[in-house]
Amino acid sequence: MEPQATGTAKSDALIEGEQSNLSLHQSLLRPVWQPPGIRFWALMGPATVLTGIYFYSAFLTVTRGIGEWGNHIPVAWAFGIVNFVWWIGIGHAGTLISAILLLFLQKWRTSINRIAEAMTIFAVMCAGTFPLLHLGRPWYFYWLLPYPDTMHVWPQFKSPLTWDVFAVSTYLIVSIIFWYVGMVPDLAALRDSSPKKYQRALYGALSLGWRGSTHNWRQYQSVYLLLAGLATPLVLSVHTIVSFDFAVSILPGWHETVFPPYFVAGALHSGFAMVLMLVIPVRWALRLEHVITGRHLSALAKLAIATSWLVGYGYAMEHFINRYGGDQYDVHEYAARVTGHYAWIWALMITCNVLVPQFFWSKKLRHNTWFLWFAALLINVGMWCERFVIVVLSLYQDFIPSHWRDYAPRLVDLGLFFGSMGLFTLLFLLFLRYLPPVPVSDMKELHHELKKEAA
Amino acid sequence: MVSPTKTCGCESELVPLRVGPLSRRRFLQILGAAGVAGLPGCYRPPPDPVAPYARMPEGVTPGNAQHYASALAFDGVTTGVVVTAYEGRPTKIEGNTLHPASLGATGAWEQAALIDLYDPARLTSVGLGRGGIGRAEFLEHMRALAKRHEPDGGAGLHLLLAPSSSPSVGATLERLRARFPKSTSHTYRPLDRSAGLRAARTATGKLLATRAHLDRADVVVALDSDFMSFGPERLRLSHEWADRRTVAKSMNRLYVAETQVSLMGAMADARLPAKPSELPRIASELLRAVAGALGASTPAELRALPAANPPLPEFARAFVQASARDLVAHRGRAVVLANESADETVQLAAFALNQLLAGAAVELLPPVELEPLAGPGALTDLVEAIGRGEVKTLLCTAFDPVYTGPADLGVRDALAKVPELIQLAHLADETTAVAGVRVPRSHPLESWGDVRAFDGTVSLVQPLIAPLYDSFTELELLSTLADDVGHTGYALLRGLWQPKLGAEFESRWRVALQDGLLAGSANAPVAPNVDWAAVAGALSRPLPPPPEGLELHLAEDRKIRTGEFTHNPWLQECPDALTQLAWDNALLLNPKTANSLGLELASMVELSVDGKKVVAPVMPMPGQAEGAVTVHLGYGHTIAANANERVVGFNAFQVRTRRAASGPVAATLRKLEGGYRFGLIQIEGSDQGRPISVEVEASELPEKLADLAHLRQEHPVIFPRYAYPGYRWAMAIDLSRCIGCQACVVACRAENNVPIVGRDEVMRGREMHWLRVDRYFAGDVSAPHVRFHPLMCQHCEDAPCEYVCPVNATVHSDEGLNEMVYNRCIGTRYCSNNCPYKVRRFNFHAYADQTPSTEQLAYNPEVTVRSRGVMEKCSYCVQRIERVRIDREIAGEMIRDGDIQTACQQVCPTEAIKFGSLSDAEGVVSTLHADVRRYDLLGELNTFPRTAYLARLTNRAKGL
Amino acid sequence: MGAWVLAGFPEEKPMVEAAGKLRGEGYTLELFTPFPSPDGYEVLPGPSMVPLFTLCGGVAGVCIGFFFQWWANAFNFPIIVGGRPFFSIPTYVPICFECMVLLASFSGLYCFFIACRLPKLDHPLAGSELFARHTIDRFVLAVRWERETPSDPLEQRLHALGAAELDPVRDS
Repeated sequence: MEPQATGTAKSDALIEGEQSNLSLHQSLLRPVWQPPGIRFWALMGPATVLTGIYFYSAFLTVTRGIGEWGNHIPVAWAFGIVNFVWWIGIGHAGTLISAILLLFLQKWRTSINRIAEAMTIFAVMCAGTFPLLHLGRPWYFYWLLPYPDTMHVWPQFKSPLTWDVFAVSTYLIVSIIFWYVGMVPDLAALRDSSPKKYQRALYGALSLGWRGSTHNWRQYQSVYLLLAGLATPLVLSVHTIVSFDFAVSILPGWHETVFPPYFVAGALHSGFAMVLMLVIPVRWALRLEHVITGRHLSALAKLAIATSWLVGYGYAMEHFINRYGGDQYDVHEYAARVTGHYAWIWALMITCNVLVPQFFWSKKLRHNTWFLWFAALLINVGMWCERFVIVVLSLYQDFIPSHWRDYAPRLVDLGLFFGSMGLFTLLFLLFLRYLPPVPVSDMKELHHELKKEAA
Repeated sequence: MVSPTKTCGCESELVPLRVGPLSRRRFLQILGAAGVAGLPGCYRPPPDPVAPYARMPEGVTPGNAQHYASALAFDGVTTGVVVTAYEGRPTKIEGNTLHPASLGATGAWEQAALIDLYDPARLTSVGLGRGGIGRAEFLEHMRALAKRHEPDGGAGLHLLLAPSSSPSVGATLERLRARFPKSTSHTYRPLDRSAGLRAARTATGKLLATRAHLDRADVVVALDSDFMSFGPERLRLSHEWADRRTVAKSMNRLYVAETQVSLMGAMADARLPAKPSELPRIASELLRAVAGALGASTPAELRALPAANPPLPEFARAFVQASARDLVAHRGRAVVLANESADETVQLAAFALNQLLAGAAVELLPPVELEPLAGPGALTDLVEAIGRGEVKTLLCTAFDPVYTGPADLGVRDALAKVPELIQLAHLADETTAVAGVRVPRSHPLESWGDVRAFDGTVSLVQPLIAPLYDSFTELELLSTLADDVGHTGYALLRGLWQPKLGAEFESRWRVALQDGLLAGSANAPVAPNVDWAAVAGALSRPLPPPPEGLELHLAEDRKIRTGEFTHNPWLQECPDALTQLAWDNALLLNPKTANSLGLELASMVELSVDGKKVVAPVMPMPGQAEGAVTVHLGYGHTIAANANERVVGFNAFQVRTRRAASGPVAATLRKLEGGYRFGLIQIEGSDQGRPISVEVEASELPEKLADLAHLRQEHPVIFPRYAYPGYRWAMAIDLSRCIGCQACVVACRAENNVPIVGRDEVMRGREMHWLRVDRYFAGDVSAPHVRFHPLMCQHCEDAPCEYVCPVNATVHSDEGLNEMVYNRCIGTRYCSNNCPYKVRRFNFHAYADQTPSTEQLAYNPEVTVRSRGVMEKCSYCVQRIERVRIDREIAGEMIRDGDIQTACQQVCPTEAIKFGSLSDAEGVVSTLHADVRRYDLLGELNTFPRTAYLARLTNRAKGL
Repeated sequence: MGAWVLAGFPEEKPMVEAAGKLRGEGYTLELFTPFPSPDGYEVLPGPSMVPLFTLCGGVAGVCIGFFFQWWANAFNFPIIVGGRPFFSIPTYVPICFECMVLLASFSGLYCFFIACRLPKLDHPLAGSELFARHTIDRFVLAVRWERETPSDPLEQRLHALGAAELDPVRDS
């Protein structure tokens, strides 16, 4: 079947057109077998350049010191942490979509969960590099890990940063396991349909020799479900713990009990937006409109509405508690955010995160892929602003006025930020090139069930 | 390595202050505790034969500090100091408790003088023409020169001397004059400080200096005289003044009239911002008012003084009335200070007022300088002489006349005409460029000499290290002309004092070296009779009409003086107490004046005076007299050796014409395009009404103290708190005493090897001071209320920085110290974010590696030098605590109250900082922590800081 | 010596029915499907140890996490930090949780590998083209045939039950 014109996606079906196991198999694995087109290289080029910039900036940071960044006292944390929280937030939707929606038996998750999980893993990878580069002496990062060292000093388990180390690394590992286990049957499918011998060998090895026997499927389903069950609270815990980095401190603007739910909501918000940003071009470029349909997009858009209200509530709560508490330092800090000369960033945050998603109430806009994509972009911009507001605008004017100082990023900061986007794109493109972007066996199963229902 | 006794090449003579018998056991203990700072690099063989370090000299132990008394002179008058040395390497300068001008304290200048010794830009050998010559050739050169001048009695021989009070220099000059009767000597000093002496001469016929005893004064009126920042008595006066600030009942009151805000202005209970041209009128009005109030008991001439013309503005008259009332009410215990003022009218009025009011609070002393009337005028005479072609040879030991000379005098061209110009200089400066012979000047810490204190007390200057380079002292250089063979400073000194000290010379000499002063050498006060007619006559003379428009006010810089410290990184990076500028000077205007001219912070202007121009960035300064333009001298000073470094600030000497140097002149500003970036250490000037630097008005005691209650630690804690069994180190800072002089800031840097980051990094907010004195303005921009707030690590018992560190790099000792473990720190900087006081500093770059190798010799071997990427902060000088602990444990005793002095505490001229253990209930710190004025900074955060602040007492003047 | 007779079905339903019948007749069977087939589970019931292993992993994770934090910060090297107690349970919670998830996931994964004998790079039926299609679109029913010669009756049986193609694979 031919892909319909992009721009709009009207249908509400989960799978479009008359499909069979074979047609699904072929259409879904086509991206792996067919040689990459001009579009692929057109994206690969800039992504590689940006990745180069990223590594050069990292090199400067490590060889010359954090002084290459814009950070200072009092703003000792800035772009590094902002980017970390932003990426890790993006990295939340993947596991959430595949795990929670799986538990809630949301059929529509099936076709996008592989992409979402890949996004999660690459986002967490990008996120993970920032705290390391951010160290004054990155080469000693392993001191954060509990190992018997010559000084006989252990990590300090009261510190939220130590919690972070455990949370983020656990999240990365479990996400990779979840992603890989889910991919094993599809790798087997690739193996059994690989045109070339080396491909057969490669995918055979990757598939670990998986065979779809009843016994295997039984084990598979049970472990996949359990991983989903474990990943679900894990997702929530990770950003909760990231929020502790701030909530546990005594700094006005950081010391807030609303942070854990507020951070999780923000993470999902940016995550869903990012999924939209990725899925819309992918379904078009890889001709997957028949499995990633308008219904998927509008479902994501609806979720974005929900999360927008959650973060909106977070902002409202911050405002209310600030006024209600009335502590002079908090009051000043909040005023500095809202009326200071960084106020435009705060305004941008409110607009992009709370106002923009409200357009999704309109079915028409929900089904306009161009609009969806730009809205998603704006949401991610807004979520970055939120992290900037929290991290920088709380630090730059705190308790002792004599130390107040404005913050401005320097070139290396920007290099790392935009470079990390390049790194993400690069990894994602490689994923699209060599691995099945849509879970094949799941799609066949879904197709089967839908037929059953129909019958 | 060679012991100091060796390195100075005169072993029998160097007398350490404290030499204890030293057992092998103690040696090992100290070695273990302190760690040996082996720095062979600092050793260069002295001229005399030295013995290898095979057998350890008595009292010299590697890693064990030695302390020698010596003296540092500024403008020729001294502060007695005690210098600490490790392995013959001077590393720290402290005050000499026995010395009248120090009383155990030092200022920022004395602290920073150390790093000048190690300045990599120093002249290293005698320069002749384009090349250089060795010591021997130079001495030969000078002998030949002397021979050439002998026939005509030295007619063409001129000396341009720096101000000095050194008896041996005096004696050498006499020999020189005897040898060259026709020679001429000019004593030059960029700023005129002799107005007071001249005023005394007008009144009494004698040159007399006023010595105030502020500890005996209930009321102090200071006219245009920053007695806390400048002058040979600044440390003693500050100390005496502060001693009367802490108890409400016996509190003094300070009235200040001045143009720019000074330290003393910040401390004032009543302050009058006045343009330079108003100050003389204020002074004479004050005299009139007092004379009037005293009535018949005053000389008739004074009561007949004419009213000021033009009359003073209303608020100024109110100030004069109020202060006059207070002065009269406290007759006999009232002092009027004008120490630093260059205006003879102000000085004369002050002199007269003191005669009428001060009683025992003021004494008159003969001046101690060889040439008391030294001033800018000397240069004018010289230039004229050169113009007449009289000068064949000029020996210049004065500080950089080309740079500091009047802008319209053409000093450079004149000196360029001198056939033989011999300059004695520390660094290659503007004058060096035209000097045919350039002689490196020895640093006081590598020189023999003698010098007097303000009261005449003689101190012997003894070296701690052999001259690092082939340098001369002024004494030695003069001797090359005065004596047919140039003697060493040591020989000259002994030669002078042997006869004076008489029979038991050797013993008295040793004691003098040991104590750092010659007991009983102080001058006796004199009680002359005043010729009131002359006083009245002088004061009745009409003053020149005040200039139109803006008035220029040229001021010595609080940090780098008139440029002597241009190349001193410790002072350059230290923020100015009031502008908070580092590595910069600015054109100061009252914000109102600035607005009226359409100027704001960092806008550029062209300042022109008598046709001379300089481009300067503007800084609106609350408290600046409206209509007055203050610029600080000493910046924009090119040191040849660092031509590639940026010259910081602008050179205000470029508009200092002879007129500008002698009296009030008009200044015109022209706004230029573009702006400027200041190296500001502190940006926000308001404390936002937060209880940070708390004040209480003395008259409102004790009710007001209730307000402090909520600032003390009284909040519940949900978890069991650690009980500290042993010593509980703590600090108390008395804001009533702190005058914001920045001495502690520089001392902290010297003691703790705090790195220099440079101007650019300062602008990026990465300065490294462990201790800062913050400055807050409150109230009206014309009469602001200035508060100083010394801020360093508070050593919180429940420190927020600690529980957020993931690697245990900042932890607590069981004595309550908040410790930084540098080698464990990985630089997450979380501790800084969670520190409510923001006192933690981070090595964003490898700042320590940028320290020049010579300056690394100044490192304190007991303090780790921090690497890149680690956090650092105030440690309560833990190395000093441990050093004392070792000594005490050897003696098997407990550490007693006052045993330990932190670096900031030791230098503080006003004793604002106290350190000790709370476990000692009678200890001074325990007492201060129990004081009614005590409060905790941000106590409501439950950090339980170990540093307590004592609220500042103010003593507002009635009727103002 | 014997053989596996592979029967490929285009649909799941007939295969499951065929499997049900043949199993009733005592044949040894195995089903290979492109996606999990719940009906197949009923024909060939069997256990899964994965949940149990995962549970043990989780419990172990919590215990290890908690014990280690206590041992490191409160017992082995207690340091005064922010005046907080050495043994402060609330601060241990996050890491206990993370350890729980991590160990649970790993033990689940290992159990899955062991149960499925993964990784296993060869398979007795791997040679058969028909077998290879079970990951693509065919539902393959493998029937064990113990006798030397392939039996026409069984093959006819399978055809009758709706097998699209047959492929006997002899034991090598």
